[in-house]
Amino acid sequence: MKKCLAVLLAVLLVFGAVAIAGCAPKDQPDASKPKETKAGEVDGGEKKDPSKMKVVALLSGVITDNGWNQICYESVKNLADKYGIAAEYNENIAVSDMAEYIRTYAEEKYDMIIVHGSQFKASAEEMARKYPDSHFCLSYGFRVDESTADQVEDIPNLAYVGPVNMGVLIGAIMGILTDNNKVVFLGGQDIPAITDIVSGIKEGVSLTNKDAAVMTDYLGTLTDADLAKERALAFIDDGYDVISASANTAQLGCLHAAEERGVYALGFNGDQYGVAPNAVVLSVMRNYPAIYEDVFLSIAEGTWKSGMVVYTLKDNGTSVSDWHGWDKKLPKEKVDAINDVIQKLYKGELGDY
Amino acid sequence: MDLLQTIGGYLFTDIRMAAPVLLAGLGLLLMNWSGLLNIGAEGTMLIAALAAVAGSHYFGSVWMGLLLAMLAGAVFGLLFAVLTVTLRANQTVVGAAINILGLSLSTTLNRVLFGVETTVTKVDSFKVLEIPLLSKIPVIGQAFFAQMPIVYIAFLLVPVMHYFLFKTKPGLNLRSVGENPRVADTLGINVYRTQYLATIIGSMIIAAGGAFLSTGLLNFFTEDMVAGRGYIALAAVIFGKYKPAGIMIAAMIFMAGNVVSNVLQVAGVGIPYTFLTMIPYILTIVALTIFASRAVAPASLGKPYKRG
Repeated sequence: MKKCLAVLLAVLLVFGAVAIAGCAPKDQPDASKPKETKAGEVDGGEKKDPSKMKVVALLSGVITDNGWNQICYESVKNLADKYGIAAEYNENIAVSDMAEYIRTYAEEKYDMIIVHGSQFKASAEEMARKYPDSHFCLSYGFRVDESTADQVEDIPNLAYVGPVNMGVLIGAIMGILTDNNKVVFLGGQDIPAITDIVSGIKEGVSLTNKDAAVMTDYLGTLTDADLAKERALAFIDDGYDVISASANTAQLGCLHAAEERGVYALGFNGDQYGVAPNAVVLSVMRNYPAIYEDVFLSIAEGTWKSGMVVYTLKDNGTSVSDWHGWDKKLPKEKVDAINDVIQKLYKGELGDY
Repeated sequence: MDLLQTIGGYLFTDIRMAAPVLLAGLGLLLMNWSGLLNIGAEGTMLIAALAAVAGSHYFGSVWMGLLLAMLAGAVFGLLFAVLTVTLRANQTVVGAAINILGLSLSTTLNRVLFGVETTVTKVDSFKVLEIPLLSKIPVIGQAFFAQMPIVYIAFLLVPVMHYFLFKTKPGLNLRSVGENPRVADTLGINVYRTQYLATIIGSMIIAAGGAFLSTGLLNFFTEDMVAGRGYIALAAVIFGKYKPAGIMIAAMIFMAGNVVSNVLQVAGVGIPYTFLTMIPYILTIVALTIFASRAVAPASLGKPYKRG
């Protein structure tokens, strides 16, 4: 009797697995008609019909992480909505498996393969050399001090893509918001996609507030929102009155802490006003949807550029959310100062950001 | 006075953060004493954290959220019991499966219910319930008597559980099942029923811990938000020598480590954050070495029992 039940359960499980496999993405391309492409044609020249291009995003985490991976998912979704292509992505890829994922899509002659994260640098470089027919975009984090440039290799079909100087913009706003002259920015972990922001905070704050004490440190987690909240509370209780964080879902805990204590916060990576409407004044976002649309069109039009493809504040690499009514709630001089500094940064009037 | 207040604040944070681990540990303890080794606390807490937010969202009350979370926990407990007690599958493997199931199911359901957004769905959450007079005691008053209801429940469960396990007949029956199910069976104790009950009720207590993470400390669910607390609880049970009070001390020592790393980071002493992250674990190991004496596990822990 019990054996029967066990067998029955096993059979059910197998059926379940088959059913799920059957539902797997059907937009896999038809491999039977390989396209003839000569090597060397990749670098410019050939024009493509955007609606016929094949794009895939290869992600290290899940598309609902409120951060790094979600913004990439939104980039391919944006392309899908605008150009009628399929929004293809793969989640939770380990560093050791990335090369095989890339190979799969490169063999299928994908036009644009987004490898989302600098931890995949070695795989992307290896595969870009092997498959000159595909364009590879490695999403990268660039430090403000330009020390990243040494890491970039010259491969004609590989671009290191990312915004730069976001931290400067965030810091500049934080410097204006603070009343106590104490601001804190918490990163999740010491990885390029986070240190690029952390590296700019001090410089940004000094643009608007020379007296403010700036603290930047790391939480050591990207998922533990509860822990992040307690850490943020500890900072706030020590007198810090503006807080922002870049730690995927964990950063939501910091915003929650700001709301609980009634201090200002800045959202990051998405419009996070809704998480803590009484704390989140503005949100600053990596403008990857616009960046990858730009890169996508450059492939279509044959104006592709390899190497470091950096989007500064001037190039619209970073976007800022709506005020959501905070422009009425804040003192007018702060609103004006923030609007002013954002404008100046975008125009490049405060230096080359 | 100022220093004392600061210490009171640290204690407050410590107790609040220890509560979910304590609940999970107590739930696991109940199962362990019935002879079942369930490593699936992490998955159970995750699904409960989501269920709590869903319940609170759809019914508008955080208590309904807790109820739904405990129901979800009961279902996970039932699944574990069916597989390990009735079908006698390997308990460690099933526990691991529960963890994976909890992670993927909570992730999928979260996307189905609340969509793929960069913000989160906020819900009603537990409010602090100050106990009159007692909360006015200097230093410890706020820490012990100005917490959320579920924190009181967690800490009250410690003596209750101790009394049940070691002073009552059903508790003795439960422990005898964990020590030697065959003897218990010959004495007329229904081993399977005991194990089923222990697993289901234990999982519900674990689920309460998960619910506290999403609707107590915060008011939203994020994927993988339990972040290893289910495994910490597993260690806390062994560290606490299979005694409720021991688990409480273990949970509080571990979370005291987190408080220390918070304090050090805010003070800006320049210790790399990777070392700060280690503090809770180092503190636990040190405490374990100092206070170590052999933890005696229930004799039949993890061994499936076949009747007849």
